[in-house]
Amino acid sequence: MDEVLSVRRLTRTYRGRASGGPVQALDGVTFSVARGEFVCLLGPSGCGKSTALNVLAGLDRDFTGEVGLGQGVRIGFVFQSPRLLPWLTVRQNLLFALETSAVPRAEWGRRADDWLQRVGLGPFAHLHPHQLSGGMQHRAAVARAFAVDPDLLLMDEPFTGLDEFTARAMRRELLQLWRETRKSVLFVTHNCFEACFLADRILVMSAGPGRIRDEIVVDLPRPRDDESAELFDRSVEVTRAVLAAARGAG
Amino acid sequence: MELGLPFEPAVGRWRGLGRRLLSPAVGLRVASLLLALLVWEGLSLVVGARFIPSPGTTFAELWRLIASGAVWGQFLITLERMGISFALALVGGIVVGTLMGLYGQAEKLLDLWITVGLAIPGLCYVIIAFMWLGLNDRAAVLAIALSTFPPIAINVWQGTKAIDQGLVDMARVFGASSWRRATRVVFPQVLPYVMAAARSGVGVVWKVTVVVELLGRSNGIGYQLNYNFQVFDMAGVFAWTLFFTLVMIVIEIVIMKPIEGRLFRWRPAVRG
Repeated sequence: MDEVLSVRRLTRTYRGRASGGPVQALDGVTFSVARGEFVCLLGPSGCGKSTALNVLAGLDRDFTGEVGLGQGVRIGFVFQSPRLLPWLTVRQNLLFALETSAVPRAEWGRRADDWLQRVGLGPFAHLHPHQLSGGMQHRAAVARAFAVDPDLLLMDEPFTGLDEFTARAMRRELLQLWRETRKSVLFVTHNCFEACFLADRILVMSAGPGRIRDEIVVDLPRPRDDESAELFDRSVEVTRAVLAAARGAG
Repeated sequence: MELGLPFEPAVGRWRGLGRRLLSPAVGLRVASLLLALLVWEGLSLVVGARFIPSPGTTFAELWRLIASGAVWGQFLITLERMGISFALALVGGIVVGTLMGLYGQAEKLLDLWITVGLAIPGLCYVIIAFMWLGLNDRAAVLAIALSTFPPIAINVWQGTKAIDQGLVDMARVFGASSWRRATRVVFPQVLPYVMAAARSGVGVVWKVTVVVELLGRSNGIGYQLNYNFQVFDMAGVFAWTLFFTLVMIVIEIVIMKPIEGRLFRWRPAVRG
């Protein structure tokens, strides 16, 4: 299958503090993401999943191993906090990202409006971020990431700071947008249920040093139901896998 | 029920203005001013007009100075000294503050000296500059700039340190060049601190300028104050002080506030 991302033996070592030696955040991490696939990186905090995402996004260049992005693959990013520029309106925030994207200039305005509409922020396009609720700010961040027309969407625990009900709505909306656009997604989370609800494939990570321990294919039909017993059973299974991975690492 | 008028009728607008003027906040300010005048008048009566000229005498003297035109020449001289020194201190403060905020080495190298610079009284700079460079305007400007520089540098330093790196990373991930990140993401974050720095700078620069003129110049408002002091003309001292204070308040209201309002409209309203 066509791959948008392939990572080989990715290793990231932080030079140690005065006490103790160097800390290995990632050790020989190897995986790939196929075009149109939704992959979750799942693991406890400190297992290096955010580190991996920073490397993939080009924010961290101090690593060894290979990170292969397919020919001309462009990236969209949703951070844990919305990271909107507070002095711009919501619409201007989308334009700020569009102005340095591969999207032709003539389409910037239309795309910004279209994506704000799609995440339900159409009427709020001209407000500043501080005038929006936390959930709406996250919607704006999601709209920004989709608007730049990326081939690969990197998401770093984007719904962790939200209350459970808002997070559920956001997950459903994200899946809806994903089904419409079929972007490849690499989604980092520590929430087993979230991973089962969203992913085609889950990569289970453990800490000390960060490694991929297990791979679980979630072959549940879509659209998936938050309340279904099947999904719940799967998430229990996945939770066990994460715990087993953590034991294996210790 | 709402009438749903498409525009606010003029009468309503005037009534709105009236309501604002009669609001408790404005009322308290007016009361505070009236009370101050009353206390001033009272003290003048009790202590004697030789030591505390009454508000009437002071304003009459102020009017005489303005009407005779004597005030403007001196005022422009002082304003020029302030302006040049302030510009020097602002540029220097922004450069040094930015370096200290961005680079740990620059911070460790300079933070002690900025603190020392802040601790030294403005008067010391003035005396030393005059002794080194002579009683001239070069020394005056240097002394004023040196004492205005530390508070500006400190504000910019703190502002640069407070930059949200997350926003810079966001811009980078979405493909912004380093120039674009500096101008569109970093600069707008530092701007409020530069404005605060300019404000504290304006406060310092005027106080030091007056001292400089009193000690080593033969013109300017500081010199006029000194002259009035020599001849024990209290009304003159009061009038000159009042004049410059009023000018500073006007600068604050007419220049600083509108600039800030325009620049920082996006910020959440501060309640208070």
